[in-house]
Amino acid sequence: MQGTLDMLILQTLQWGPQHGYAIGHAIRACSRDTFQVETGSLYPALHRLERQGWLESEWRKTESNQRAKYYRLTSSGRKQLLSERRRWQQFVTAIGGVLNPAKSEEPL
Amino acid sequence: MSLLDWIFRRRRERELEEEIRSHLEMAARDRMESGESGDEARQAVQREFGNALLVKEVTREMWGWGWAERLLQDVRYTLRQLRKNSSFAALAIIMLALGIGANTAMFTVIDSVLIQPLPFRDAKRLVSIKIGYLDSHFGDPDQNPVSWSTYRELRTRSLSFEDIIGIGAWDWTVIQTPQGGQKVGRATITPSGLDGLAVHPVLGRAFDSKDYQSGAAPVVLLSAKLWRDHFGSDPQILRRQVRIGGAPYTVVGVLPDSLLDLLVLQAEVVTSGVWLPSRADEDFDLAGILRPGVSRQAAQAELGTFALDVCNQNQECAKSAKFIVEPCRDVMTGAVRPALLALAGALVLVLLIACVNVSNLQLARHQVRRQELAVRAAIGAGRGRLVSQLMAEGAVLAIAGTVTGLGFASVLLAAVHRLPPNFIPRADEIELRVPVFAMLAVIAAIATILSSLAPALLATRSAPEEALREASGGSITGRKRLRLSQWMVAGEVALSAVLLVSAGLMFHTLYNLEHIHFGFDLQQVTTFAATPANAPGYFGWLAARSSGTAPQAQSVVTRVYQPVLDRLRQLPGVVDVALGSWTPFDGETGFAMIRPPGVPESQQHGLIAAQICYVSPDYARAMGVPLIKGRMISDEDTAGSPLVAVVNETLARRLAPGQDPIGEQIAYPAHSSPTMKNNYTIVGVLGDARQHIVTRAPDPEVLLAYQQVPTSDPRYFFFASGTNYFVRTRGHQELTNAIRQIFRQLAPGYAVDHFRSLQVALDDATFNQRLGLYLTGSFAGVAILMVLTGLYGVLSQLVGQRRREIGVRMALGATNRSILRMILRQGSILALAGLALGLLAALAAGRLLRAFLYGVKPLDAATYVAVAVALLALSIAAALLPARRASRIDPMAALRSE
Repeated sequence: MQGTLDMLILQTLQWGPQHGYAIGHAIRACSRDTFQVETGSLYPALHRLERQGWLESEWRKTESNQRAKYYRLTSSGRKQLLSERRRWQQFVTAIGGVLNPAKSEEPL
Repeated sequence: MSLLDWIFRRRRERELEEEIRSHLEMAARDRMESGESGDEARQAVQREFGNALLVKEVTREMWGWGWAERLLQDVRYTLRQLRKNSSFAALAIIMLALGIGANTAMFTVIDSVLIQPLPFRDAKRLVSIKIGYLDSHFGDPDQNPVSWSTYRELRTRSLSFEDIIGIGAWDWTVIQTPQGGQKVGRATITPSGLDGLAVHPVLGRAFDSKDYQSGAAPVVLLSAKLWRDHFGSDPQILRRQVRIGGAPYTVVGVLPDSLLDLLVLQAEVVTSGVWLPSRADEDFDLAGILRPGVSRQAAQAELGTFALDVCNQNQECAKSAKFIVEPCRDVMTGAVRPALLALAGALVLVLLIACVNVSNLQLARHQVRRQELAVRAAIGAGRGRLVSQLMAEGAVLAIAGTVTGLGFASVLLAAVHRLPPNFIPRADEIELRVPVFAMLAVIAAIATILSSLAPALLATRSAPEEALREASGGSITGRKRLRLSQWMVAGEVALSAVLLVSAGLMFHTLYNLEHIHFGFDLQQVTTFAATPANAPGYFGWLAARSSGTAPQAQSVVTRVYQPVLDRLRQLPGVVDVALGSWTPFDGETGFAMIRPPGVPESQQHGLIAAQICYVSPDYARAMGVPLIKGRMISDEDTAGSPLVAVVNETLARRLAPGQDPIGEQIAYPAHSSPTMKNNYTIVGVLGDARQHIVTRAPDPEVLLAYQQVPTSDPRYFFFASGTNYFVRTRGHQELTNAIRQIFRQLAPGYAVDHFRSLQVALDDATFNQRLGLYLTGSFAGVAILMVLTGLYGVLSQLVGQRRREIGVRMALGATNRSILRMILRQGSILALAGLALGLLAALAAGRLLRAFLYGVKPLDAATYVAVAVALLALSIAAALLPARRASRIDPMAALRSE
């Protein structure tokens, strides 16, 4: 779904800088293998988000002494994540309303 | 995309590479840690990762400069393609360059000359006012100058004009410059003229009212070119005195050259000259500035009410008078307008044909390349990618053609500036017009890019195999388009036939003109003109006549001309020297009616129009004209001795058919001057010498002795206002400086100019014919190029479309030869159809050319045959390449490609 991957990446990076491989892994792990992020989508998305200024990157060594490109959320990236989450929440609520009409008829 | 991005592109590329590698290594390590072997892990990781190239490509897109890279790729690919087909590329570029270049030059000229307003204030409302008379008894039918009082009358009473400006007393005169005498134009302008036209001096001041008062100190304004060329742009010229026509004037300013354009009102083109304040005793030609909103017709009608004033209250005259009000610009450019527009029309056609041909060539080339395109489409090249690639090809061609065209246009415009000064009016205002060029470049670019797009679309139809079928022949629209192209090619052949016939006729004419027997020597004779510092001219004569000034006691002949001739004769290398009143081919002539012997003075008919020429004794020898009978004019024929004449053979035959004319007497029938009543005795007969190239037969001619012109005679004023010299030399001699030196000593202040050999004089006279030959010749060259490329393009496409059919024919036993013949026949049919049409059109064109032709009929059989043969041969040559390609089609391959 458009924008979903972006949100997942931003969410993953909320806990600290991470490289591409780990981001892919984290998304897969957190979604309990529901989302298999393909590299053909992951890297373009990372580069796009970086270009939009929501991510910054730097080269660092991993624990196993491997050079890797680490991505970090910027402050505008944080704001973007918040707005994406809000949008997602509205979306879920709306879908829920359609799937469970009875519930939505209840007076607020 | 910022420049910085571009610079760091390489680094980002490397980083992406490393990022992916580190991903793969980390993934592999994870797998190895869970127990897989190194190789297994690496393979699994590769599989999992997918196509790394694709990932990289998609990721690169995100950087935001993918399009630039693609464009670069396309351009590189295009350049490679065009290098491989360099002849195609060269042809296409040349055609576009010709089309764009020639049109840019042409429309620049049209814009500068016909469209841009004259450099005067309210130039759009600036009109010339001419007065003509229906009854020639009252004056010239087209144009007559008006007196000062009429000018004042019209200016104060007419309501149609903001101002009326008079240009008076136009003539040539001699101004003394640091380099000696110079012949320049002179004219006067009425008091409001400079202000009215808003012509501001480049230096100094304009005339003010004091300059116009009678008895004011004589002042003059110089034209900028005169000031530049002969006074070295010296600002100290102001308030200095210069001698003009023998009298001193104070220079008060320098005027822009544009004002001289106004002299076109006098039907003269003058490049440098002097302006004087008008005087009340002059006659004026008029220009007016219309009031805003007043039409030319209204002004004309209103001026009509002043007819009686113009005619000094003569009713008959007033009825006959008509006023003609025309925009000044049209008067100046009217003569060249039709020619320029016709040329422009032809050139637009050239541009159109060039665009069509480039597109035909593109299509033809893609017939050859269509398999490549189809294959590339089949293995997955995106449609957009192919289209953009082919568009890049069109764009590269268009840009190369346009740049070359710009260069070509500048060359052409440089050539325009080298035309004789009076060839195109306002020539000095012609400058490359960038908007014109830009517009044409855009047109050519659109045409080229669109035409390169067509094959792209054809090759990238959704289903490649359908595209292949389309390309190999089934398509109806393709056929229709091709038929149109065939017509176009036939039209091109027709056009080149017309142009080639015209060029052939012009060439023939020029050849004839170069090889005419003129009756005198062209090579060894140098001619030049000498104008006295105080040349009286026509106005001098008028002034002398009205003031009754006593004629000079001693003729200029004995004072100046004779001593000069003697000195010239002593120059090294000089064989003979003479002077005469006219230079051959100059167009200036002195025709007069003469009365043959036996025709009584009172009789009006039986008179003969002959060219009258005053000459010095060596005239015939210097020019190389043979003496047939009797003697030539000699030094003994002085003012005091009996009047003698020498006639040419033509006149001798007319005067006394079959008899000896020596001793017969001829005379002028005119009685305007008592001295002209005298009889002249014929003492000799000269061979015929042609003074004009256009006349078929030599004119009757009378030579009179230069010493026998009385100073009281009106003809003396012309004679004393300048003569032409003829110097026959041994081999080529550079005498200009030596001759000027002699004049400086013996005749100081004389303007000595117009040095040229008689051959050059002839070349000048045949300039129109030569220009016509160059123009039709180069047009014909372009047309031939068009025919070659057009035929090649169309036949190549035809071969491409009929590939399958040709394959079938060959499979059924047709030989290579018969296929070759078939395609050649196709080409010849197009060529013959065009040729038939073209030769018919040439018949009409030849009639238009008639006035330019000499010694060749418009229906010259040799020219027509030569053109037909040449065009057929060229057409066959152009058809040979596609025909050979057709004959080499492999039937199996052609059939299988279905």
